[in-house]
Amino acid sequence: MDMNTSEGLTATDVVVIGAGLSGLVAARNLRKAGLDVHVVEAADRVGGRVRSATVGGAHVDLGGTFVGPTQDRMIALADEVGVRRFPTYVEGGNLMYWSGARRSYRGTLPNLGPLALADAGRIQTTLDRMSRKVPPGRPWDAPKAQEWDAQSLGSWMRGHRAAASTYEMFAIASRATWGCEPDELSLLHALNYISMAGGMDPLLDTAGGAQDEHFVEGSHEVAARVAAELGEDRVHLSRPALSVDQSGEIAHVRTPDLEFLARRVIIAVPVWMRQRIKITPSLGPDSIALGQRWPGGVLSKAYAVYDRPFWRDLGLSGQAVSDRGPAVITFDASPEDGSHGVLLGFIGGKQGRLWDLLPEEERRLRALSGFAELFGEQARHPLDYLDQRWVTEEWVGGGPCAAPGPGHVLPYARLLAKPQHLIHWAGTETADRWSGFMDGAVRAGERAATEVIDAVANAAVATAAVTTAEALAPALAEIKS
Amino acid sequence: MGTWVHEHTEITTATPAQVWSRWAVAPTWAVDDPSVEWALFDGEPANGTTGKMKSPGSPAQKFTFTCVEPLHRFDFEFTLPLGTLAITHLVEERGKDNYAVTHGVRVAGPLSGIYTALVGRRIAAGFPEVVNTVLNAALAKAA
Repeated sequence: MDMNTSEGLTATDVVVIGAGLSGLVAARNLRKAGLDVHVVEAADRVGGRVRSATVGGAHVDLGGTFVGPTQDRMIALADEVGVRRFPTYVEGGNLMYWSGARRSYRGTLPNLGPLALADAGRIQTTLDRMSRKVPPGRPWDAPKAQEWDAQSLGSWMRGHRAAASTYEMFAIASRATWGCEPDELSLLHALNYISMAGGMDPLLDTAGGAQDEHFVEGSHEVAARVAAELGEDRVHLSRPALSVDQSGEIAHVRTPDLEFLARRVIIAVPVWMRQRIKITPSLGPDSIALGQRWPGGVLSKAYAVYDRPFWRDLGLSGQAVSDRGPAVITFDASPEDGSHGVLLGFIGGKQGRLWDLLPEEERRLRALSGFAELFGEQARHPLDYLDQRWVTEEWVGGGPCAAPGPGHVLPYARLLAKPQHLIHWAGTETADRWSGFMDGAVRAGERAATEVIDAVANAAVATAAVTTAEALAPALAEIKS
Repeated sequence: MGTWVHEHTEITTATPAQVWSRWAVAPTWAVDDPSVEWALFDGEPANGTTGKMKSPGSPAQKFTFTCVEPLHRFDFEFTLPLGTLAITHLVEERGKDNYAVTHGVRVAGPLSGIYTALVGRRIAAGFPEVVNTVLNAALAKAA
């Protein structure tokens, strides 16, 4: 039950910090279980790492975009709130721009020649095999966890004599997947990530993989509809959580102008943002280090919108990989009816860092130059253009997910989702399947909600049906005094 | 025997003066290009002026400026046994307040095939990063 105890102070069952997909799903499930919930969100919008915009008359997803097979929880959620999906356009040839030359290819791996393809296949097969030894979401239980966490994905590739073309190809995958260079990422994290996705093909493929479909109304619409279900009086925007005091058996959550007393708190923010919330008593040095040593990647997106998807007339899918940048991977993100042509480019890792620094017009010129090298001069003249630099989002600060470096997984990964007294954790980094994706965010929100429901139910048994108001009364009296 | 040429062009808002400030100043070469350890000019860049450049793991190589047109073209050339390797730079107006900046490599001579395989393609592969770094630095300096 909700209890407005005084101006700006509310007693409730659960406060969820963060109105991204994960936090919203957690709140939704808690409410379904009959609990009273408030969501506080630092930004002036819901969605977190999903966001939408209209560019040149076309809808675009500025953050999480695609879903694919086995991403069942995100798909189920979208179905429940009535957001439809459609297949990503894959007809025709894919393009690669490699060492200054443009070539067409079919499938996931660019055609670099038989020797280079064989080498890339060798590295991929080895990574797949190793990833199967990592229990999804439990990298510390991998038999070679210590050894794998002690090296980067890049150093491992060099140690296995990956050809230069193979290295660059996996570097492109690394930039688009984690927003970092292979040398910046723990090998153990990469393997865990692959394991959580069910393999490299599901992770990287378009048709039949993680880029299989996108949403007619956009991924952000899923978050918006869940937030609407919860109600405006339950989702408090522009309210950054400043502190959580869990010294006693009731948590005290403060925002600049709202305060809550709650039985439980779910923190559903990017792991590197956790440290912006002051938690009392301190969660300890390892939890602090987790927030510092699991930084967000650097991944930006560039959208160019045309009057039609002209590349389809040329027999091209719109999908491309490029070593010239700034976009390293492109997709056809046109609406289902093809009423506009939309090219989406991912710009990540070191290229993302360079590009993010540029003035707006310069970013536009560079992104369109890259598109033009791939799809011809027509690509240089869109109806409109927009880019999204996630690093510059104050309350997201990077993306698409955490990119822990060597040595930073084994000591801290156990803490990602481990409840600490009254605090439970959500957010895609805490998922044990499809971490880093929208599906992981939904799974994590569902898991955190289940934890809280169980905890509150157990507490209810223990306190013999003490109501929220009664339970919170002592803490409230203490605050008022 | 033959000539192998590769170029990389970016369209930018950086002005010719800004770009020139990165090309024509020797110490900036090592900042903008990871394949350069250091560079020295034996005088103001002009046709015929010589200089030296060192790459990591290689001895310093002498080069000669072959075409220097301030705010427009900046080419220099290494003389190799039975071959030459030229690095070219060009900035041209491309529409209102936009400029095309091109870095190129040209390998010529009887052993051009070998030099292309050994050096030329590696230099070419680095162009996207180098040109972007040059332009970022040019714009940052102006800011």
